[in-house]
Amino acid sequence: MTCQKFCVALLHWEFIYLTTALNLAYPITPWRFKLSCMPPNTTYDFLLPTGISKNTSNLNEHYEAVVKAKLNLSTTYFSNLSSKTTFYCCFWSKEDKNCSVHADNIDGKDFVSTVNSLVFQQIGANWNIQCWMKEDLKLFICYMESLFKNPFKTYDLKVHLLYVLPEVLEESPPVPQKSSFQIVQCNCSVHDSCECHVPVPTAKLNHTLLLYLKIKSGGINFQSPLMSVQPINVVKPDPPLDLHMEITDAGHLRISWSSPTLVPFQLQYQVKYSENSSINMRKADEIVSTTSLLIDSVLPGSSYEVQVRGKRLDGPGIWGDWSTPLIFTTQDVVYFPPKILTSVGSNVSFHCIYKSENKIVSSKKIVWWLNLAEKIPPRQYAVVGDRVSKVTFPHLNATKPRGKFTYDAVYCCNQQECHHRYAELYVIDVNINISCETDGYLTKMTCRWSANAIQSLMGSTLQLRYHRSSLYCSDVPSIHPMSEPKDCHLQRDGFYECIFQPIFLLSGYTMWIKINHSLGSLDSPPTCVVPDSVVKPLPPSSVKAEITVEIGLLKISWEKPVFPENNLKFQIRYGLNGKEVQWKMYEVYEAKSKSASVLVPDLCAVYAVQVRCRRLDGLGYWSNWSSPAYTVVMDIKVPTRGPEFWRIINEDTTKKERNVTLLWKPLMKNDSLCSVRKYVVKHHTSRNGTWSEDVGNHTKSTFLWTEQAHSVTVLAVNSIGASFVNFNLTLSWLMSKVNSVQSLSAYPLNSSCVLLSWTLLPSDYSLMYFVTEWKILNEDSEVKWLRIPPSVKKYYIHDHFIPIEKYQFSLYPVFMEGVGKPKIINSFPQDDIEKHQHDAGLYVIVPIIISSSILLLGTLLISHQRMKKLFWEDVPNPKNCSWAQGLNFQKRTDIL
Amino acid sequence: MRCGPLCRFLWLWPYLSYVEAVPIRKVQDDTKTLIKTIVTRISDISHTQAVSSKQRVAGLDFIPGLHPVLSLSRMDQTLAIYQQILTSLHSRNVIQISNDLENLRDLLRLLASSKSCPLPRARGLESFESLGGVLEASLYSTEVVALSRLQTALQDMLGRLDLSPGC
Repeated sequence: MTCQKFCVALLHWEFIYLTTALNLAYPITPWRFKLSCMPPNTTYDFLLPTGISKNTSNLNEHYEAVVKAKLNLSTTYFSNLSSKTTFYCCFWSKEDKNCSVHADNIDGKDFVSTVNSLVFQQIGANWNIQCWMKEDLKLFICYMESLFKNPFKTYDLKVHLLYVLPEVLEESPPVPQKSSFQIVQCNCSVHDSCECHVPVPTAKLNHTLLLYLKIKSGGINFQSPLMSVQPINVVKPDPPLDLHMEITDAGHLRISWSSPTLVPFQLQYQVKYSENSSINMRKADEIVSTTSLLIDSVLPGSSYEVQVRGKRLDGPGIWGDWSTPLIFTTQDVVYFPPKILTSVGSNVSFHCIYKSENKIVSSKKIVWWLNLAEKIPPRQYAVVGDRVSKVTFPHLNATKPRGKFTYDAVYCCNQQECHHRYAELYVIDVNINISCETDGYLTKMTCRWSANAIQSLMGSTLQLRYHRSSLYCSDVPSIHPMSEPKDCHLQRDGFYECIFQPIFLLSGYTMWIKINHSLGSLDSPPTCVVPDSVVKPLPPSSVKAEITVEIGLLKISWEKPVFPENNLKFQIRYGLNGKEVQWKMYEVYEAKSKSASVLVPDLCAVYAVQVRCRRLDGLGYWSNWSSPAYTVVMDIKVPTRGPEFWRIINEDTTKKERNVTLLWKPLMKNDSLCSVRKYVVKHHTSRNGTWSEDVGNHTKSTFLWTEQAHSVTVLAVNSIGASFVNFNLTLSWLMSKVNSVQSLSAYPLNSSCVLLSWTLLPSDYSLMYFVTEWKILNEDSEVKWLRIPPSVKKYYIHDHFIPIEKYQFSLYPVFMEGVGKPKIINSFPQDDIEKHQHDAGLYVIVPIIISSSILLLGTLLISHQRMKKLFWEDVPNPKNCSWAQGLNFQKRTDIL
Repeated sequence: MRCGPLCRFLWLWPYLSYVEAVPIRKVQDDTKTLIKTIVTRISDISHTQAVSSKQRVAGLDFIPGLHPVLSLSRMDQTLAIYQQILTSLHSRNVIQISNDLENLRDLLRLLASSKSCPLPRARGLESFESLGGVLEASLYSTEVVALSRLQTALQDMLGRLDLSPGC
């Protein structure tokens, strides 16, 4: 029965609890609040006087003492309660210390009594509770921890959170049924703290979450009053990220951080920092709405510690946890900025504060050095206040790497003393040339650039960025704030290649290279390209080459490429086909031309021809050369002349007939233009008139010479016709007696050349030319011959002459009337040659002998005179000789 | 009403600044060259050549017909519709042509601004969204007919540009 009554009472209690829930649910505060519980039959004998809750500060110590004094009693008291006893609980906080306890009276009606929280603190069970929404807006968390004052046993702590999140968004949602509450078990630790997680759909962040706690500890059940909260109002941000400190150009300490990534609204931040130095100690606490804070006057040799936390800027929210403390220590010499990355030609400045022996050095005493090697001129210094010195580097040149050091070291010095710390200056040449080329189909633009200029900057990444204007480029391209990156790929030749496809033909693409580095980023000078102006057309197609018949010019024809539609100019290169073609150039500026003709020296050779094109206005690039076209050797004209020919006569003295064999040399291509199909020998005699003989491709022809005079002509015939200009030869009995060559001499110059010279006799006949023959004497060797112009008197014959052989040379004068009588000499055998050589020696030796004789004779004469003089010098002077005194030497000696 | 001339000046300012920088002769030449380029591009698309010009294709009335376009604004409007159609085809063949049309329209606007013509940017067909089903079901027909008509329209425009068309 007792149990039944208890259960009924319990159900009744829960009904009352729920019906009053919505109006009396405890609104969860952004700050911590407390849950205090006591058994239902407790008499509040020690209720405090009204109003004491409003002024509790003076009494805190008193009540602490009371609680401690009654702790043991309370513990005993709770331990006697059955496990089914449900405690009345209430919420209170520092801001509102009144607890509203819901209980049922003896009539079965609920009542609400307000009790000062101090009562619970003394005899009840107490917990600290804080609930918040995680910043990802997906999880609602309630954290509770037991207060050490709890007078019951805290082992076996089990906590459940029951919650309901209505579907509708209403200020006063309908009363939820008990069954509609969902239950989650909270995770409790051994330290009497528990954490309860409630998943909240994003769509219900503004709905009212109703919840209460069921706590079982030491066999006693506690149940909290109903709580309510809109999750969006208790969002607790995570600690800020990337907390960072740096010294600004102006010498301030900048504390910066980044906002937690998931928080959907703007935050305010609380920054807690302290400065610890030998000169100054300070602590501060500031609230800012930005993600950075400047602290004035950073000091060298100081230590700064900073922590930051965040909270929703507009609307209710909970302060997040503090970030991990960050400590920043400044050295005795402070450079700001400590490192600079800049581009060639720019101006940069370093600042410094110098502390020496716990004193800040006056900025007027500071001097600057570069690389500890050169003192920077004082005109580049500036004083920024008493402590800060500034040095400026104008129009910087690129840093030259010194070994592994790719920067210039900038030193701030106290007159003659420099601190070992330095600032680093990186000057990079960012003049990167970007060249672009549009393909012949006008659909793709390929841009190339080399990163060689900035290879010294290790750890940098390069990116091509561009901005497209609707039409054309501006006169001065500039870096546009709205730009796009372009993927570029490194090629084997060290160039990066980026492809734009499809393209806007007439748009201006302003491009530059962005160099990203941990020290900062640099941009190369922008360049603007209109794809239409960098077109490399496809090469002309259908290129053909031929030597025109009759005209004799090299004619080249082609088809222009489909694109571009602009007017084009063409360039032709041609040359004799071979391993290494010696090209000659020819340009065609007529846009509509499809062919051109050029004069070539050799009409019977194979020419290779290529054509390329480019826009007539000069924009863009030359196309590649077309595939080579080759001319075909074919007959262009009739042969320029007939072959030179000579005759060999075999005389039959018995029959008075002579067999004449005509010999000629095959006509070369440049004379035959370009081939000889056959030769035709044309005969003419007074008796038989004129007739022709087709000898085909042979180079000799024999006929019988029977008449007094027989004229022959040899014609060369190709596919075009017979040669117009031909050599004539008249064989005449009469003329063969005419002697016009007076003398003939042959001088061998070497084994391959003989000089032939001759003198002529006066003649009435008109000389057409000479023919010389030569052959090895006394051998039935081939007779060689050569036509010589009539005007020359000597001629070099080039052949392979054998020195030991004797040659016969003949010179025939050829007249209009016929072949004259030849002058024949035997050539230069070896003996003759030697004789000539000996003669040559004689010419040298005889003068030498004669001159030597004269010299010898002269010498003898001089010697004779000398001897005579010496001899007579030894004859004594009679005047000086005693025995000769008085002698007359002119007198005969026989007198004595 | 007072705003009229000022607004008109402000509207034309970006184009006037271009005209100042780029000789109008060059703009005219580029316009003609670009039209020829597009015409050649269309000719190079093989499947457009095999289509009979005598056969009428029904159901594609939204593609501009072969009516002569006499003014720059009408040219721009016509090209805007063609560009809208070609862009929606998502065909490799026509993406480049669509870009060319974008440039061509900009050139026409420069020409218009050189004549002090206000040429607000044409928007294409407002009812185009409702034609999604037609396009999806007849991509080939749409591409072939659109390119064919565009080619003819461009050739017509090329002739009219020599006659100094009005606003």
